[in-house]
Amino acid sequence: MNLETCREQFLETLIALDQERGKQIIEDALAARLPPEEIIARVVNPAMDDVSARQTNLDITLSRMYIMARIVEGALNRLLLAVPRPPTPRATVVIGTARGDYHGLGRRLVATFMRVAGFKVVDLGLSVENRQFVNMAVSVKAQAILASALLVHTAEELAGIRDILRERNLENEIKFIVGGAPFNFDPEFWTQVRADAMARNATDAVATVRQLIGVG
Amino acid sequence: MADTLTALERLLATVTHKKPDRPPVFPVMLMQGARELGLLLEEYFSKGEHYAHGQLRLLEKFGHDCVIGVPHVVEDTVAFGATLMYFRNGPPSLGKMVLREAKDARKLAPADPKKFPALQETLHALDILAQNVKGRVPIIGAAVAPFSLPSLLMGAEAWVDLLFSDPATRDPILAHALAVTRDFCVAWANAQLEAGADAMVLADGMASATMITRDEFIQFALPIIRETISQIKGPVVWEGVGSVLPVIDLIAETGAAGIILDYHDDLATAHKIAAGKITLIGNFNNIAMRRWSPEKMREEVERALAATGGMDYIVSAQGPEIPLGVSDETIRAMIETTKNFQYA
Repeated sequence: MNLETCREQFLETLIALDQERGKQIIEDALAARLPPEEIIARVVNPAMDDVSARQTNLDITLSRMYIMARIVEGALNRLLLAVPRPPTPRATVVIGTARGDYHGLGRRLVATFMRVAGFKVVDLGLSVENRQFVNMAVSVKAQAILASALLVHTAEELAGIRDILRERNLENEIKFIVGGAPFNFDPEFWTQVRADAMARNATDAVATVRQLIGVG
Repeated sequence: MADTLTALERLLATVTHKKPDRPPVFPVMLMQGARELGLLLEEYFSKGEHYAHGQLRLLEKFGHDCVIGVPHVVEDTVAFGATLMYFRNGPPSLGKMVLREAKDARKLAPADPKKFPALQETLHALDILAQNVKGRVPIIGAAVAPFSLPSLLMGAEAWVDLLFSDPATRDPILAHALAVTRDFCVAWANAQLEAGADAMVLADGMASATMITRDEFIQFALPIIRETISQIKGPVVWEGVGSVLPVIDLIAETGAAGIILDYHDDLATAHKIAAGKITLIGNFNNIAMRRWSPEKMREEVERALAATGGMDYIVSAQGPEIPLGVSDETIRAMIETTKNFQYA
């Protein structure tokens, strides 16, 4: 097995949603002494980019994207155990869904994409208070808060994150990015909650964070 | 042009694929009644009497074609142990997940909707609405569809994990969960119909084409939708809460009278599939609508009526509720533009 055949096989398992086969391919690649950091960079990362492009073209449903992200999460966790020295994260981000919002598929996708792209992700999970986002971001020295919502009114309440960042004079250190259906349905909505930016999908989230905090 | 049919006659003509005097217009206003009554949303949603009087006040103010008898379908979860969290600016949501993981769905126990105070309040609201407008204005009930109710109890992540897990593990859990939620949905829908509802909306957010493929829909969702609709003693509208275009033909064969479209669904394409089979409802972008002027709303209604010819079609939003931020003038523009429509 080489990196190219590994990439092809891994992509096939993602499209087929074959979770067991996904694990096996990573084990086979490690057994073939492919460097784990190279497997992340040249197998897992491009495979995610490939399926993400397909989702943008609406070829893949949200449920399927979520399962693919689960396979990738498993692969990433295994590979990070195998690297001789854990890579230094590009930056740290805090992620979660808005208070009262229990719609977590999109959040999980973004978290996985961010990790694959080399970010440290602190996932606060579902129904997170605005203050909790900021407190955690300060605590882990995060450079960005990524807040997701599916409901209009929970999305509106995310404006409170901006208020807290301003009160605590943190606006220069911590960027505030929103995502989720209401922001996609109304492309001007993110300005209403005074976010620094919105992300239309998981790939866009990675690009937006990179741009806002100035990391490659 | 003056209306020649009552709102109920207009709806009946539409769903039986006849030409009414004009298409029905359903601006679904779940929250606006609180403002009319000067109440906080929590007070408004918690008491059937408040909610019903809010609906009646809105009907008097706007002159549209329906009242909605259910504050919000998320209340269905209280029958399985959930608590609700209220907001100043939107519908309630879950206070917390009821099930920690998918395998806990094995423990789901049958629930009688009539035993829960929050649901009793909804039946009271329907009763008041029936006393005031029954036989004249359609009274719409609503419930979460059986396929999607488990995702509200355990979270979408756990539900999707279960759907895509090993069939030997998945199938018994799925069969039990769906049997419990189907029986609950049927009992709750029939209780609403007995209390005065004329039709039921089943909200099925996990079954839209945004969430699952057509093949997965056929495997997981369609059989339970068919079973449920066959046991509900009144007309049913199916709402995917996401794109539904790829499954309109399948829903049309379940016995559903109507289907609510997502704004991504092309109305003209949907109409070609649905004409003479099932009534289309929608599909204005209710999020962007918060910034629409009355003129923009008129354009959107005219576009929708042109795409459907005003047949087999109810003017409404995706979602379908109208957010609080939409102005009264914009809502009026939806209604007045529909009322001024003339068939070619």
